[in-house]
Amino acid sequence: MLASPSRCATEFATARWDALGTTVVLRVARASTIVHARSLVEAELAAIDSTCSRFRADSELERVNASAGRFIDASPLLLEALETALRAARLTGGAVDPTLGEAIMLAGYSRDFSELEHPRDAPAADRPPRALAAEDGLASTVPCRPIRGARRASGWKLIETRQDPPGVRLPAGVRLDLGATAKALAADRAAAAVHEATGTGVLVSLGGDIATAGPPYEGGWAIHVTDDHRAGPDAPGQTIAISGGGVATSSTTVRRWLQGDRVMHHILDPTTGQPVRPVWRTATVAASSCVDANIASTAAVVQGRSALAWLSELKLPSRLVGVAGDVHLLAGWPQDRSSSER
Amino acid sequence: MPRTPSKARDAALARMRRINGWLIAGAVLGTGLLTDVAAQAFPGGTITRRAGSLSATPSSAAQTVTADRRRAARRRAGLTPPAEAPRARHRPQVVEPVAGGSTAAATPASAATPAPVTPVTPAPVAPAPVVQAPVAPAAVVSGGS
Repeated sequence: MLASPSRCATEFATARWDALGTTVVLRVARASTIVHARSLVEAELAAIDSTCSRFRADSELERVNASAGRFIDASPLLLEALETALRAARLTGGAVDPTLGEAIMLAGYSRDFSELEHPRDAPAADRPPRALAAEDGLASTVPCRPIRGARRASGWKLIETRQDPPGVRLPAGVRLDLGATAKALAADRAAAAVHEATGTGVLVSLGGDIATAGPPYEGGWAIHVTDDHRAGPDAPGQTIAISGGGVATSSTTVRRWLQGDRVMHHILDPTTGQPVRPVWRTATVAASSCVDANIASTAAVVQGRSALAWLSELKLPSRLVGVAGDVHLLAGWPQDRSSSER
Repeated sequence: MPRTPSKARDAALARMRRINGWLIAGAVLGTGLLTDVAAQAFPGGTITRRAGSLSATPSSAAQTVTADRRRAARRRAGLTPPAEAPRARHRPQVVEPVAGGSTAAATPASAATPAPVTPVTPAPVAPAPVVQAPVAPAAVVSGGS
């Protein structure tokens, strides 16, 4: 029970840990629920990991990928994740495409990113590409030669789903990568599960993709928007408060690696199968859910300049930072008080 | 003896009635036959849909129908903005929380790296100390990942 305003402000609790190859931040408005809340979030993330990971040979997603061309049973969770990804593709005209699994592997992102950042000893033939740090700069992130085989037709329109019994059929030659939307879906599901079970207001952040549920912490959930979710709240950027919904940030400055002599990043242009030519360094969107925010922020990076009109038309509060550091605030995103972009 | 016009008319009407009767019977019979042929040609099966299509037909079980309709409604819905737009906020005074409502562990705002995984203990029964100055938790960072 919250006794007084001054005490209210200290009733929250936060837990942090690593999962799904990224950082999890769980914050609850009622501190006494934190242990229960964390167990709920961990269970949700474990379910998503075993279902949707493309880095686990035993995941359900990999079983589906290995069965392209024929119908295969799918769990309700995989079906939900797939339908979320297909909705993203429909709503963005294919800019957010779940069938880029083959292309991202050809680009060199074929294993958990932590293995690229900290490669183990391996024979040269099996050695992963080298991950790049933020200080490696942004200037040369445009690959100049096509990735052979990457431009395989994006087949998301040809994916068939079945509800009863749940099942899915991928077109032959198509590999799914649900990474873009599955993480956001996990955040939404985890936040909803915590609120439903405990009644407390809750914020769940998975690598900077943020979902909330229930009544907000007083004054709103404080969120610092910046290039890299691993940066601290003092990093260049902007601090905002939200009362609900979700916030997601996509950036071309993180998850970058060297493939041969080419600098790659993880957001692919479905029309080329190559990393997007960066127009935006970072795109942050607030929406009614983390999934919607994630879809919009990823699409904005893919769309480039046309994202300005697209996001405004959708009335999605957004903050886009160009590669030169120019900041664009759209659809009710508040003015930047610090304006300390690099 | 020549037939009167009225008799000729009656005979014509009778022929038309017979023809109509045959037509109706033929239509009924034809419809039945076509239905049977169609049923044989297109046997029932599980309804599937392609990703590009927005139309969704729910399955037979009532519970599944409801869930399907919910999902279908979500699928049709576009990207929706939040109920309230974000508000500008000064970087809050940073207080890294300790479960149980205490403010014992304050973290400087310059803490740039995420805190390590720390076991969180359940809330103690004892009331939390009253804090004099209003404090707020450190902002959660949203950035690329």
